[in-house]
Amino acid sequence: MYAIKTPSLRIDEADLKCKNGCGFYGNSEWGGYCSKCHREHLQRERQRKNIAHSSAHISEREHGGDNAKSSVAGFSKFEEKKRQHLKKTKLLKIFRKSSSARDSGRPEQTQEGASKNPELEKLKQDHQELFSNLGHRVEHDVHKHISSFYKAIREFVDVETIDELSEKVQNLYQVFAKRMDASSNYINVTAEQKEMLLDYIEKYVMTCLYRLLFCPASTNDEEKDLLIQDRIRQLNWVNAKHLGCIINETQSEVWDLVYTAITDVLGMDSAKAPQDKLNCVVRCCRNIFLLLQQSVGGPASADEFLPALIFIVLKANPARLKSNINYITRFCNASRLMSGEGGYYFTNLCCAVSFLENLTAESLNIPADEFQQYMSGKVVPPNTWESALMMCEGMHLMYEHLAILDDLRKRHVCLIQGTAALKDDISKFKNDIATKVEAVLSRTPLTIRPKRTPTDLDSEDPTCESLPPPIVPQIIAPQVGSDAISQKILVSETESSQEITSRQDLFLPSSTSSIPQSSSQDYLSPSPVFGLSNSFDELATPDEIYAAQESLSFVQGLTAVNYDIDLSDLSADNSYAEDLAITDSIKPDVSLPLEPKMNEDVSSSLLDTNESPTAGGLLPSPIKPVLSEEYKGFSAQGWQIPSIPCNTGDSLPTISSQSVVAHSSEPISLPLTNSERKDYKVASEINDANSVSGLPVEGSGSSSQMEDTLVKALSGVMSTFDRLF
Amino acid sequence: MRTIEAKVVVLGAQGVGKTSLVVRYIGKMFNHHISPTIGASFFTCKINVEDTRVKLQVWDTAGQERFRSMAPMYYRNANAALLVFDITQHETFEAVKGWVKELQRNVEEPLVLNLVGNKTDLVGARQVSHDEALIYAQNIGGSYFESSALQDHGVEEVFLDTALGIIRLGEEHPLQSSIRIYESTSESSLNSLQSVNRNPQHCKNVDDVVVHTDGAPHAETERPFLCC
Repeated sequence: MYAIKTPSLRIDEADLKCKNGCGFYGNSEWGGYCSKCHREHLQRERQRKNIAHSSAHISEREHGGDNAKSSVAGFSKFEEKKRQHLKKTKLLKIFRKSSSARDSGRPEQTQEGASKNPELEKLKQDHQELFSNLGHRVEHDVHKHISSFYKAIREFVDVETIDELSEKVQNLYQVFAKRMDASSNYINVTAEQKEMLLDYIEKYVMTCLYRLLFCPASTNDEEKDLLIQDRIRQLNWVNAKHLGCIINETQSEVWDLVYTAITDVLGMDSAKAPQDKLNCVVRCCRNIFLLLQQSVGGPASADEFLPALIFIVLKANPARLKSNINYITRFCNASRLMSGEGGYYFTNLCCAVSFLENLTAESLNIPADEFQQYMSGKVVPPNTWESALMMCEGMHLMYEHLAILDDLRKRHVCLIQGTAALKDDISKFKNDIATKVEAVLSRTPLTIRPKRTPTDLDSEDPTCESLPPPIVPQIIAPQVGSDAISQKILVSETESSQEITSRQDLFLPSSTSSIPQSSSQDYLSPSPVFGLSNSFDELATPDEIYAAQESLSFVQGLTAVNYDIDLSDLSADNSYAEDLAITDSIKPDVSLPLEPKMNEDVSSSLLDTNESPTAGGLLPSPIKPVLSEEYKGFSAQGWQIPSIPCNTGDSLPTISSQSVVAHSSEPISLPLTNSERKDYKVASEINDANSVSGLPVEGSGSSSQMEDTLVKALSGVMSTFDRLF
Repeated sequence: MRTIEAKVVVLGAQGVGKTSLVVRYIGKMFNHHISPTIGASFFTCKINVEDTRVKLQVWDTAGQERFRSMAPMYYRNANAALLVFDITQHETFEAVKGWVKELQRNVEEPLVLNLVGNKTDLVGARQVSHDEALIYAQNIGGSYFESSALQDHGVEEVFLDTALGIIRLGEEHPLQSSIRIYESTSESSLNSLQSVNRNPQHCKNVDDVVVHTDGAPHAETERPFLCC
């Protein structure tokens, strides 16, 4: 065993050489001869046999005894051909060494019924039932026949032409058929079983001999295969329409069947027995009928079938098509091939191949020049197989997308419904709010107006007026000091305001008359700084107003701080304003930036005392009497000061503010002296303070208007909502 | 019991109703069944005449002109040819003449030729007279039938006569190689046959058809003929 496994180690080199001693290596397959000697040996053997039997075929004799008997004119030519053939065989043998080595041991195996070939094993298993029914005798006889069959063919494979082999094989089929009819072993075998046995023999022997008989080197099958393959490749532009083939390209089931049919016809090459190959063709054709039934909507006829088959073959481009067809034609049981379904389909396949081989422009019903262009590849027809496939893909995608769109549409409808519901909710909410606001409006306006106006400020003023006499005697001792302080504060206040105006002039260089205006504006309406001109008027609650006041005071402080910084930067540049400042009797402390800030703080605290009603009880008393009494006597505008709180209490906030502006703007036209201007400053300061303190009065007094504005604002918000949807 | 297997090829120009004829015949055979035919280009039918069972393998051919050159592959080894033409179109009759010439030239073996004038339902538009066709059929040694595949008239007779013709052929040419004649031993289905008419054309009563179908696209039926 071991020796056989590794022959090169144990066997002498001489054993490997040709038995003839020609020096070449021999081969066990060739009986220990080298290829050349083996051939010669075979020929000699055959010659001897021929002479002995003297019943050999003429052609066979020609092949066998080429050197002895036939001395025809074209002998040398024949010899040449023969040699080529053998050379080819030899070459092929090299490529198929492994398989032929397996084949070599087969005659014995077939006799014993135990094969290494898995296909044969399977075949045996498939027929196990049949043989168990028929009995051991039949099985034995069949295998005996197979063995002799195999031997008979195997012997002539290398030396006879493929047609002779085909004839032999067909004869052997017939011999076996007759034997089954004649032999006593087969008395109990039905016709159907005989057919099966015949099939079995065919399959078995042909599977064994497949490598030797399929596409043999002695034929030009391979070249034809390549030719038809190239031809089909060239014709790949031909589509179903060209062939007049009714294939419903848009149906996916039809395409599945097309692919199945293509797979079936491609599977023909992998089958070994001619009958199996034929079955592949039959399967393919049945699928074509199925797909035609889908496309046509009824039983398909030959008119529809043949073009479809051509189409399938064209698109499949089966491997070794010609070889397969020839193999089936040669070695399939002729009686089967000539008749029956398989025969019909096979004929159609041959027709299809022949059609493709001889395809012309005429047979496709297209102009010759167009055909030529297609063939040369210059022009590609628009509706080729690929484009059809692409269309299929496209259709598939389209359907998918349509499904997605459907989904999206559903979602969109949901969204629209949702938005409508939301809109309804919003409008409902809007109405709710409106009704609530109306309810509030109808509930509140009458109660608020008279309530607040007298409580906070109107009561304050009389108290202020009525308070001084009891307070003054209380603070008699420090009054001089306090007056001085207050005066000092006021002076510093004027200084700061003066300074502010001068700073303001830096940015607004204009005529001298415009200076107080700018300052007054700056003081009265802090809105330009914050952009709150409207909102400030619309502020409703007293808290907010306080906050606004605080912010106002903060703004004052802030502006002061800012101006200081500006001053330090631009002290050298400000010429006009400084000139004005210099002309003043009291020089503004331009060089002292910190001083106004401190003063501002003081003034703001002074303002706070004025504003807050709680604090007003404690501190305003020493200040207010001083202010009102002293300034009334001082300035020409003094008469206006007490009038403002009185007016503002009744009048609209806009008017009051305008009146304040008007008051403040009034002195613009007046030619003022420096002292007067200083007085005016102070007055405006007070004015401002009053107006600021008056604001809550105005705000609380005009609550109905504020509510109106609130409603306006709300409706504005709602209109924006409406615009959104 | 003798069994004769024969191949019948249906030839004719496109649109004459070859397929309709075949489909009609298959449809009659499957009269009580849902038509299992998905393909009508090939089918096998068994017709029992006397002590002989004729197995007809009917090969339909594509009528398109472009496949005309492929016809020899189909009628090779055929034993009978059904030459179908349209009686309303004279050129189809001319085409039949062409087919006959081709067959006579290419087929060496004896052949049963049956001429079929189809579409008798359109008798008003008739272009080929019955006599003209009959004379031609006699000249070529064949029979002439007129049929209407649409109205199911005279379809069966065509196939029956073809079967008879093949039996005759088998008797006249016993060494005919392409007709497969073999003696069958045990066929239980045929034992029930009692009397068989030699002229099945007159037969009107048809027994239940024995149908062998295995889901294959092509039908194989067995039909005994009984005299009325």
